[in-house]
Amino acid sequence: MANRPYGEEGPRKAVSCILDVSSSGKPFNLSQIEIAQFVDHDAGLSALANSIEGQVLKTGADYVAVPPILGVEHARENRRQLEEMTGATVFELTAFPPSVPGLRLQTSLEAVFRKADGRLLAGHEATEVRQAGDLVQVIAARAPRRTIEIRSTAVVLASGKFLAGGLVGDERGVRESLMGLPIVDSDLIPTGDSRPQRLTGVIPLSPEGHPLFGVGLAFDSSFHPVAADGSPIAQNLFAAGSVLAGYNYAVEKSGLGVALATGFAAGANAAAYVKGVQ
Amino acid sequence: MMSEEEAYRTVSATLEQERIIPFKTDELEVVRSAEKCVNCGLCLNHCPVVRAVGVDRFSGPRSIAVELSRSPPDFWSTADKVYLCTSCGTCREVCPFNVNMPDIVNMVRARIFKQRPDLVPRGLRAVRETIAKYSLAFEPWEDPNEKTESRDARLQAAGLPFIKDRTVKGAEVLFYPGCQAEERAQEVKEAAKFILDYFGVDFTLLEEMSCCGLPSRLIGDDETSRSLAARLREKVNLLGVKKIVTTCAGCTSNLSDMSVRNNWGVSVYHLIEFLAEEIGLERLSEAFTEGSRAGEVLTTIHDPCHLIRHTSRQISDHVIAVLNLIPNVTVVPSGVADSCCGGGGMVGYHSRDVADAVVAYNLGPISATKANRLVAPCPLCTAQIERNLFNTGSDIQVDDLAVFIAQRLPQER
Repeated sequence: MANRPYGEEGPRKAVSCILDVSSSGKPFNLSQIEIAQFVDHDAGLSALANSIEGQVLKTGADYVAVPPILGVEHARENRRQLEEMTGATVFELTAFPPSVPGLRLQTSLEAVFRKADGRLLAGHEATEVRQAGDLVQVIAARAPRRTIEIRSTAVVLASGKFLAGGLVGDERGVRESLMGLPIVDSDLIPTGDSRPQRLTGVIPLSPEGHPLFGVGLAFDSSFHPVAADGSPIAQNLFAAGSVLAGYNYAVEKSGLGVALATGFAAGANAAAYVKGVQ
Repeated sequence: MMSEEEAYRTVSATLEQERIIPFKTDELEVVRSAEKCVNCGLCLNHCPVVRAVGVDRFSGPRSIAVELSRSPPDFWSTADKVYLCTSCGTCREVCPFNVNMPDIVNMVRARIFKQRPDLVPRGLRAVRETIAKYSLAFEPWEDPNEKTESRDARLQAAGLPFIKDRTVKGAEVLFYPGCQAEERAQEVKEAAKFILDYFGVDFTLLEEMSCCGLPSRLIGDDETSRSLAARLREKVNLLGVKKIVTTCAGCTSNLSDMSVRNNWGVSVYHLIEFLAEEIGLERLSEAFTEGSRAGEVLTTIHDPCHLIRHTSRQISDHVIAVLNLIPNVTVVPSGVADSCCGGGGMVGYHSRDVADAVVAYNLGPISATKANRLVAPCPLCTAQIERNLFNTGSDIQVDDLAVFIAQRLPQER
């Protein structure tokens, strides 16, 4: 901002400062999460407010940008109180992972899910899917010391791409790791037994990215994963997120956007299917 | 030319000189899992010890995975950090690559134990001596009569009848109370015996109780841990049981692990799993309806890490399902039920301040529920939370789940 040309609203000035907030009382070896957790307590919040207030008085700032440290559990309320105490508008910037805003989002989504009577089995990994005819019937899920069987009317597969383990690639080609579903590239062409290296371009960094990162499941308008002939793999199986073909994060950068939009659509279709069956 | 055997001996001797302890086959998977760490730091955001004491005191799971676990001969240099892990397994649960942190910590501790026993915290060395002497994690009662008196007093306080101890070869179920319920929280052992007897389960006890090996494993005394597990296996095989039921969360996860690792050929259940899966909710419901003599209770729950994170989160659903069957019992969520109580990982034996700082996070939300009871399916968690709630002046009564359930069954059939 300090270097930007005069805009319609006239000149703006940006200054930086060091805030004096430490949960341990020491000025070293602190993590974002610690400060955020500290700010959730009265002592942390007032330490942050005092530190910001001093800087606001000194510089006359109207806006204060802080790293994502405004709390984990009460971030919104903390921000409101800070603004009240300092008289400036406070907003957060993003920072290096692990992400505090990401943790807040995750915690809120889980809370909403539980409130709606959702049963969340954290720490379980789906290891097997049993299908009878055109229906998925049982999902086996493994926890550290137990393997349990889950029977549900509809299933949404949201197992991610390579990082999350939804897809694996080796010398035999790219595979969907749970059910071995057919894989296509962004142009819906089956990747077959093409090795991952064959699905990369010659230019390391190009606006088109690499086809490898756009591969995934072919799906129909209801978000059913489909076979080569376009028919659904199972009537009660839906898919969402980066396991879907055509989604290439490195190119379009809309990770959470695609997750939210396809998750919502696949979830709504799965719910409609369940209602239809009942 | 050297024979294969000679070559092996030569290399082994060199390894010892270089202070390298070869990994056992069952440790290799753990080592490989450490190699998968991508340094994302998600674990750091969730670790209850980091939350309680900060990264300056406990550098957190990520540092153990990416820095501390990379140079076996120098594991000793981690001694000021690695004993502060409460072994809750939160990091493994949130890790996108399932890096097996709790077992990495155990492995590091095992190597410090071998190479630099002087760096093992004194509190842990004392427990080790107790285990070596008695094969139990707690010193047994000197006078058996006093043990019986204490048991009877506890039974009376809990309002439970005494079911005679029995050792029966060929019984279907071995009830294994674990060291804490055997020597300290005897009411938990008695409550479980009463419950099993009430439902007509063909159960036996061990002729002589011995530790499952988990405390030794957490101390780093891998040899003792393995020999205790082997001894228990022998006893289990001699009795010829098909199932082991325990009331201790740590025993549940450890015995589940051991029985699979060394092919014991038995299934291991926590009592609550046994009730939900083998006795069935219908029979439980009938019994509770008949036995509802206790008054109205508003209760909240603590889920032990060794059950939900080391075994399966499904056990937490079983607890709620069973409690919901009991008339006059209303369950209120605290929002921190799955947050570590600080009692694990043997941390309390040498760094009580850290263990108590970890449970401090739970105390406020537990009190805020306005519940008059907290139940936990683990005598260790029960003791840790009870002591800390008491210190804050709270009047919430803390019960082991087995006792709570036994008190709500009819005493006469």
